Amino acid sequence: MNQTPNNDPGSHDSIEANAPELREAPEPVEKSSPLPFWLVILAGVLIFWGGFHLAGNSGGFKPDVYNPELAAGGAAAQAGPPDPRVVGKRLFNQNCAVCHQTSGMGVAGQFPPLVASEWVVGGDWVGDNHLVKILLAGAQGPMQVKGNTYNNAMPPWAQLKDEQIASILTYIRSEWGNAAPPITAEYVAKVRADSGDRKEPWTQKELKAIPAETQPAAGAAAPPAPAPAPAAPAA
Amino acid sequence: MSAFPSISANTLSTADRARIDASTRGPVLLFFGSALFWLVFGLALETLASVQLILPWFLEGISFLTYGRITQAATTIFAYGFATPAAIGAGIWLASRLCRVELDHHKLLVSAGIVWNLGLLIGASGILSGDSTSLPLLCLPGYSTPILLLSYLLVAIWALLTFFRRGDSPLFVAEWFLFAGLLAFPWLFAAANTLLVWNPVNAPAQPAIAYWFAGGFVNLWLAPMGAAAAFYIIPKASGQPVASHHLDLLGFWTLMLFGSWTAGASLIGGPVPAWIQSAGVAASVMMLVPAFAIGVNLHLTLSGHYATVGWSPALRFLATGIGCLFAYWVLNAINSLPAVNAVTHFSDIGRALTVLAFYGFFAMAASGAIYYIVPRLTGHEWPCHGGVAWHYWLAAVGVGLIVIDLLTGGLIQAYALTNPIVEFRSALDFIWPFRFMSAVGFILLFLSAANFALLFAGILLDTRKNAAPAYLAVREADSTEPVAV
Amino acid sequence: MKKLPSLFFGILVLFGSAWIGVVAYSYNNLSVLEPLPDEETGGTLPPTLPGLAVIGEKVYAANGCVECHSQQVRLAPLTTDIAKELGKRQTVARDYLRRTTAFPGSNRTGQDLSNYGARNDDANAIHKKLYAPRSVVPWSTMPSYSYLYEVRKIQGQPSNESVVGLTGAAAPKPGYEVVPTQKAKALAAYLLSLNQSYALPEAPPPPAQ
Repeated sequence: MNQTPNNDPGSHDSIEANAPELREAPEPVEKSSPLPFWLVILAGVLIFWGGFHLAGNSGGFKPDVYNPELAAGGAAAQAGPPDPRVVGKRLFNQNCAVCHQTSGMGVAGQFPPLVASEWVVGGDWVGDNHLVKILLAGAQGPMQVKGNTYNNAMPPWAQLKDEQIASILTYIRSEWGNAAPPITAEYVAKVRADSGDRKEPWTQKELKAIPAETQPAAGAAAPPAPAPAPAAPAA
Repeated sequence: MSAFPSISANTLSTADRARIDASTRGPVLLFFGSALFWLVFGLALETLASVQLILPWFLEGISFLTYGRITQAATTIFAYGFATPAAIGAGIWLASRLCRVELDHHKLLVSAGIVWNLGLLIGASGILSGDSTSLPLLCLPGYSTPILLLSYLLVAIWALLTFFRRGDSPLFVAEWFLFAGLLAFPWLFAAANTLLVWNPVNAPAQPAIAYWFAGGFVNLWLAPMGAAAAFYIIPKASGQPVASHHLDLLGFWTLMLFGSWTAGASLIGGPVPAWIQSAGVAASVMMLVPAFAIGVNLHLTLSGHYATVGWSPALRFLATGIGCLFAYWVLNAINSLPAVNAVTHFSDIGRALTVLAFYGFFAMAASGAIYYIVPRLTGHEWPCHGGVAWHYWLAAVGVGLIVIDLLTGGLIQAYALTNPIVEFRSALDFIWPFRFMSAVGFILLFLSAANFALLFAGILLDTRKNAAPAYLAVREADSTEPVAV
Repeated sequence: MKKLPSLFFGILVLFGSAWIGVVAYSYNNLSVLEPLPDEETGGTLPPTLPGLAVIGEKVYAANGCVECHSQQVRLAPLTTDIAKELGKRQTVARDYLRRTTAFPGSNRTGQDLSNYGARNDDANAIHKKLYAPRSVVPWSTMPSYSYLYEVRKIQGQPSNESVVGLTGAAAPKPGYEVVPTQKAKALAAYLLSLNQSYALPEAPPPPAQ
């Protein structure tokens, strides 16, 4: 770009105004008349209406609310995090089904079943804490499951997040006719903290020495599951 | 830095005006001339598309003449071939006059004009040959938009230099609009191209951004540039002061705020979060504030002096254009009410509003500016007074036919599209006669544009050697109004 | 307002508010959406697309289909889109997740296509309609996309890809066949992939009437 005017230097003096320029009125100016009263009222009403409309139809300014009426009508919970049993099924199929099978029946003599297993849904001395502990640190040595003895090793799964472990357990406790309450991520976190940094797999003997406990208020803390499966206590 | 004498703060002598006008001649005529070429070409495509809408077999099966491609090419050519260069051309002249600075960057702006038209030629050919992005108002293929941005960069350099040299005098209202438009356009265009075309964000985020651009293109680029021309030329030509500084303030700032937030109103009930839709609805309805503020202000300015609008082509076109802008904003506010939009969205009412904003508002306002500016640059009068009148009436009747027919037909079509017991086919049957009339309207618009282009060629070549200014109506010899042309 | 800096600053603030509220907000909240796990198939929602459908999106864009076809089902009960059976639930941002470009559309001169693939599963029928729309639906206003097809002389056996069932003026001369080009095949794959018949948590089905 040019910093000095270089074109046609003589033009400043030689240009004559043409006819349209000669008949022009002077440069425009502004008057400062006040705003018309009705326009002030109109603007006020519109701004009030706009704020009212936005406040009433914003769906709480959430990025995942597309229909404020449904959200206000109680369906907001459906817009929450995904069903843990859905996530749990995927994680189970990826990590656990190799041994326990997608049917949850295990392999006779090799890998114990999860269906109706006292280790999964709770038994005489087995509590929710034992189930979580096995997931976190694994298990080894002879174990009695539904009256059969299995002698094999299960690897630890402490590398999974609390939510993921909770999802898997919630899934296996509500699938294949199992009907135990969901396990929450908070409870997994609690058991993980209780177990300290134990790495070596548990044996049945060690576990039996730990008193059984049941997850406190498990059902209330878990997200409501749409399917009726966990509601039926029999099975 | 300027070697020429500084111009007094609030007035321009006739000699100053002559110098400023002469300095802007080349670039402004280049932008105006190319704009008119593209206007005619774009309207030819638009007319063809409107015929194909009623006769779908017309020229079908030819890839570069298929309805989707020529519609997008026509919209693109209007927006970037006519509207933007016309806005830049008028902007150059307005900024030079308003900042009272002679233009000494001819090469910069002439290069910008050439590069711009080159970029658009590549982009429009790209759309016709099958490289369209199909985004609203942003169909230009990704390889052509950097050329357009490069051209605008040159314009921006000139604009910065001009505004820096303008001195300390208070900013006149036309300068606010001019400055806002020149600032908003690159922001809109560069951001939308970056986020949607060059390096697209994930598709779920695209609709909101796309309509942020499409709404901004009208409300923050075309509207401010049209308003800038109106707020300078209307008081100038009619010799009346702008009615109210307070209305200026209200209209300008509410336009800047609400105009930038209207995106959600194009996606009511659609795939963007509810609050963005509601914010868009609120903003579109509150656009009534700038609509009334700007409309009333210019009406009060002309009030009692409408005789000048009768005979001056510039005032006639500008007043019609601003009237259409007002109508567009009011109709758009109504169309943005969720209960209304639930029915009218996806019908031809949307097309009617686009035509009202593009051809009713901007093409009219830009024509008014061209009628006022070009005689000052060339020193010639418009060659054929009858031709000017034909241009006005063809354009006005054309826009009126299209808008009124598509609005009424669109209402019936919308009813058919949304009523569960009415078959889809009925919507097409109902709208057909209205689309037929709108095709007639587009033919009239095309003729008006061709007529205007001929007039423009005539004034450049000075074919008639007319000495008398072009009046649209007889100006009484004893009139006390200014000449206004 | 007398000075340029205050004008500049004011415009920046107002324009910036929408920039942050609409553009940056969408970028931060919608462009980071992830697919959800699908309980039934072990896959994800929205499902991944065949490669041909991804290519077909370019053909859809190139021919300006979006000028007449929308791809969004709007919410009920405000609109009647669901009652008109355009889809079973409203379209949300996540539905566009597998696309390169979202085409919500703004005009319904033609039918809404959000769930086209749920209503149609026959690529040959789509080719017939694209090649000669009014031979299939006499009142159709869609233009022919015959330039996406090749009419060629049958060499030996007819191609197994050729469009069958063309009637009337659209039928090729004896000894000739109409074969879709790669673009036509991609476009048909794209149209078949338009299917939102899966559930997403942020788009609950509307309450039954």
